[in-house]
Amino acid sequence: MTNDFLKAFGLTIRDQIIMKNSVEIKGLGTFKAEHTSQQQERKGDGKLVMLPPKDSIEFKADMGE
Amino acid sequence: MLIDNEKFIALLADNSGIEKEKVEKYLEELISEMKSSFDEGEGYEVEGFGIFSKLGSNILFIPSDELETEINYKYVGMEPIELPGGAQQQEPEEPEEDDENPIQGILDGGKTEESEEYEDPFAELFNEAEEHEKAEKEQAEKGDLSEEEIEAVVEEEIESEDTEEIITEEPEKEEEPEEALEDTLKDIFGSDETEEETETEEEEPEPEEESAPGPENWGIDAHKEEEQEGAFSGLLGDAEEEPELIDEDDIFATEDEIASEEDVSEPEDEVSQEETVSEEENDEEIDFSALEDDSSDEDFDDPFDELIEEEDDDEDFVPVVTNVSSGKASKKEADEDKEEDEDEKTEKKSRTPKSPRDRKQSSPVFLYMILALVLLGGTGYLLAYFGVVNIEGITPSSVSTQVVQSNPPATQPESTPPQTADTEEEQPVKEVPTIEANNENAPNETEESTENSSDAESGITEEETPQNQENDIAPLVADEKAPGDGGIISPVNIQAETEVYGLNGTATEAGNNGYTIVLYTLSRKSGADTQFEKLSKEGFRVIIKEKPSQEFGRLYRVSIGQFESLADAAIAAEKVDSEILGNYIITKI
Repeated sequence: MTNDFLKAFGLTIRDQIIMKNSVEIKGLGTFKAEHTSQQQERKGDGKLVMLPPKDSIEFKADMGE
Repeated sequence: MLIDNEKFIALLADNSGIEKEKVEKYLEELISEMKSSFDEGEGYEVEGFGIFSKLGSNILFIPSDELETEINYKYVGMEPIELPGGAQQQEPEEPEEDDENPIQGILDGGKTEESEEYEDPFAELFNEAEEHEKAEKEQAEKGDLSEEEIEAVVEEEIESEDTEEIITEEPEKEEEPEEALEDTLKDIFGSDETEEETETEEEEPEPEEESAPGPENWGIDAHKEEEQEGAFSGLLGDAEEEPELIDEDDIFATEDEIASEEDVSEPEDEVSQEETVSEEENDEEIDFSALEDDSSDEDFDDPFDELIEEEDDDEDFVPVVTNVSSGKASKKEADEDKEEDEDEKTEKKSRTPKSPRDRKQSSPVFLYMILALVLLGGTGYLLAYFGVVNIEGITPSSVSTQVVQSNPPATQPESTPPQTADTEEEQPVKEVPTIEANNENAPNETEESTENSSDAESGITEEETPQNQENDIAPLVADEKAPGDGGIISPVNIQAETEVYGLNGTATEAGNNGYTIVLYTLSRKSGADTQFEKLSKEGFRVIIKEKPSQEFGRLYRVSIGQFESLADAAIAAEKVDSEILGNYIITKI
């Protein structure tokens, strides 16, 4: 296992997530793109804040085998 | 799209330039390495990608900042925006105080934030701004206060402390009166001197009053003060100076003002009493009577005071004089007798041109009256609606009473012997055209159109209304809309033996004032006829009613049975095979 591999590993998953694809890795789990649309939130101090939309990565483990 | 393991390995091989087999091997290595580090209770970090860590039986992946940013590239740099209006809601609201008025809480409901002043449920209905302007105007025009006015203010301050427990207002109100109270109490109780002396003494508190926080600082109270002063000046003989202002007050007086004058009213009594006392040199007793007055006045209240007041607007000082005697008289018996107070009060009414107290006190009574009227109206309507009382236009023609009876013999509809189907089959075709002309009530029709999913007619347009879903509700709705008996087309077979109502057999003319179970509303006559034949063969009493519809032209409503009441129809409908019934509604024929 080389650094190149690890690097490519990260990049490949990243690219697929950016393309909104889910990536399933046997024995490890599934990476999924998750979009959160903008939303209002009331802060503790009573201020009303509009949160920007957000894309994020989600991981669901699959260590079954 | 899902990139499965195989595709991922292919992609990884492409990206890294490493052979596929090796990639597979590396991947396995990676996973086993992760597992071993998990077993050791450690996390596993892939540089530039993120950290895997085991938490319980689950594995968490925390993406590195890099990765997170790259994935979120579209929205990078977007910061949360603070929205206007958010902070406002944080502003503390003035605590609402409970008033003696028991309805208050109910009426206030959720409007608490909006009503600035403590007790008025209708405050929002009136324009508060207008009120404020008016008050300011009064203030401006009333530069200097007469002695009487000052007295009034002083008294009012005293009184306000008494009433604080009941009507609490802004804190300023609570603090001021105490000082003023001491002074004025001294004045009132401590001196048995002549009128002049008491007057001069009472002037002493004046500077204190003035030095107290000015109207500008008082906020709402300021207006109150001004109004009160205005009211008193009118009472005490200064009416000539600003009669217009006061009149304006009367005309535009909002509930708010009326409420706010609650404080004023009581002082007024005392003031007038006091004058009479000083004339008679009988201070203590008067004060007691004044107190008595207050309590009783709170209880008794004449909603028509306002009218009387307005009529008496021209009077000036005269009322005070009359009050002297009344005050004297009541003094002696006041302790026991409430009726006396009542009398006294009525006297005052006639004598006081515009007692603000009377105005304000009218509000709760009006509230009670309005409430009572609303309740009466509501119960009346309900009684009528449910058929206890028969009022045309409210009582649903036959529904209510019949529904109440309910439980008609369920077997009745079914027991009617099936009529000869042969005669029926040809009837509808002939009869339909005769009825068309009558039925012009287009808007109603779409409501009643129904659809049956089992309908075999291909070219038939059907519509489904929400009513179909709720059998219990639909009939009621449909019933209200039924436009009388116009346009009924039914194969009327006048046979003496035929029962008027029933599910089976042949439709009777007499039965057309009842209810029917509508199965279909079809756009083609041929389709309706087909259904008619089919249902007739099943032994049902079939009725085809033609319904003009703005949207769909002429519709043919196919229904079965004639029932005396809605309940009969509903019971009968339950016994009909659901395949035949489909989505049905019950409506007036």
